[in-house]
Amino acid sequence: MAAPFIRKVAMAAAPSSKRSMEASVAKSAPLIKTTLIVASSGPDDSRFKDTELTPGPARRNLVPSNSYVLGWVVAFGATGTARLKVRIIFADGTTQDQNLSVQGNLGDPPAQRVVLIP
Amino acid sequence: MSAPTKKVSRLLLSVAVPILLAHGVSAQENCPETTGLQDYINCRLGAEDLSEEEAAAEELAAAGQEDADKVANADSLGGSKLDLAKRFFTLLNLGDLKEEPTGITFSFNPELFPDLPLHFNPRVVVHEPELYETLVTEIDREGGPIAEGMRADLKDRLKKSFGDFDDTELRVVGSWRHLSRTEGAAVMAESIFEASGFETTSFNFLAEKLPTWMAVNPDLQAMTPLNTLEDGLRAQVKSDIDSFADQAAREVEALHQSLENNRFYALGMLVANDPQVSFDGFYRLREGAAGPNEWGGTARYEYGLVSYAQYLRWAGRAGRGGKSVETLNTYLARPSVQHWFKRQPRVAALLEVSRIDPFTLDRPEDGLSMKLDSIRRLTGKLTYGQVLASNPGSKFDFEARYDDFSDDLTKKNRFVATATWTQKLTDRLAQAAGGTQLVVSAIWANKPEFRGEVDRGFGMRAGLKWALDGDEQENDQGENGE
Repeated sequence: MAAPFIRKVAMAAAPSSKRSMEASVAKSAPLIKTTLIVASSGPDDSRFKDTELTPGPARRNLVPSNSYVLGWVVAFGATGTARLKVRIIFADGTTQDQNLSVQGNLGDPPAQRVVLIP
Repeated sequence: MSAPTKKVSRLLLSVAVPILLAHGVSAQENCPETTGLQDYINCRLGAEDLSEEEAAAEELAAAGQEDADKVANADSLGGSKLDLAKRFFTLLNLGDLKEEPTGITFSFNPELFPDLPLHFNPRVVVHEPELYETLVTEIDREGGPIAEGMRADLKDRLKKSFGDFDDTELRVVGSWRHLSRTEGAAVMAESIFEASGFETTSFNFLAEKLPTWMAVNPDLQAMTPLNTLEDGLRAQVKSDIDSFADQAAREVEALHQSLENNRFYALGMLVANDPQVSFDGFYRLREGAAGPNEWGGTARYEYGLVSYAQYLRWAGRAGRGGKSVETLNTYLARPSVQHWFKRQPRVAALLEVSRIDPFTLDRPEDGLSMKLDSIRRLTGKLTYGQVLASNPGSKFDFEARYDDFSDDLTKKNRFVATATWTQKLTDRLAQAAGGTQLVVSAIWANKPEFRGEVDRGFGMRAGLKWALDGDEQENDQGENGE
């Protein structure tokens, strides 16, 4: 079962100590297009374009007291896969990685995935 | 028996109804609450459950250096060579690992060779070794060298002698791509994607809700399972995620429509129709009773009659820049292009070759000795397929092939031609029939598949073929042979 393993990778450091993030995308076809929306509980929303993410990494700072939702959107202009790697960097220098992957066929509706940074 | 009658003509008619071939990426209603909050949300967005190999990768990532030390010291790990290989592969992030009951597939990252026009996807498949089928037939043969009472024991001993890597397959799948041409199309796709716009209300909604959840449970983390939250917070979180998922579905549908209208997918189709060469080669190494080594490969050249290369040629002749979305729209609006674009005609030529090495097994202590010659097989194939314009859910395919099985004592060299009509069923029909498409094939061959002399032959077959959750079943109504 996947769940017990997943619990092991819960935040190593206190969420409030987050300082910055990096995101990079690997795709099997150039016509797969992705974008990463950084939605914040504060006023510091932002967005990374496909060209910034591939190969990346795209970087930005995080406000420790804010919570973030990363919305990853993938449009299939080709059949193939896309993989997102998000690295969260904490004040003590520790990091936490999140990996997501999606697969689709040319013409499929865009895929959406979420990474939570409480 | 006269010469002409030695040539056997055969017509096969088959009716098949495979179903549930596509599941789409629609949002899921029933997601497990035992996974982390983030996985639950992604499941509601249509993601499949986290696979076991992904879970194993997460476990290794979490264990970090401690596990790396264990890998370096095989004795302390106490596992098999295969376990070691799996851990090294995952720790070094070499690619994806897929475990199935029949074996383990190590798929190396395609990004290992990003600048080559040849796109590689190397894989190593470690099969669970099985006794070679021909060997089993020989062991079980009535009147054969092995007494009936000894057969099960012998097979058991042979199986127990297998090692982890006694049936290992090296496979390379690849394709040739026109880098500069594809990059030009990718730039245009990027501008269409950016211009299509995307509402992010749903993600902002979720970002606003996160602090309200944490106000109730300050220890809340991305991977906290939903079912571990206290009842009041759990109900609130579920309700918020439901609202988020509904809004996210509307936003993605709007984006999908916008991409469709702005020709994003049409551009992708043109690129997919560009001439391309692809290949798939394998070498399967087997030891002892697992069978002989085997290698083979398939080379394929294919193209669509309406392609990105053709679009660029037209743009060049018209004195326009091929990177403009406006030019692309003009091209796609041309009557002749529309005519063929609807039909999506596609031509392919394919060459397939395989060889099974000689097989020798001597077990004098069991009175068993087997020696088999090598077998080479060669197939050449031409195909043509297109959608029927009057009915977009309808497709016609034609295939002509020649099989050269000269080394195979059981099969004949022969020509085979197949015409196939595929009709996508309406939702109502699909529900009644239990399938999503109807497939009707007519097959002609100049000889029967298996060796043996006959005067003349006419075969017919009609039946139903269907699949439920990938478990394909077939129900032939009858076939008569020569």
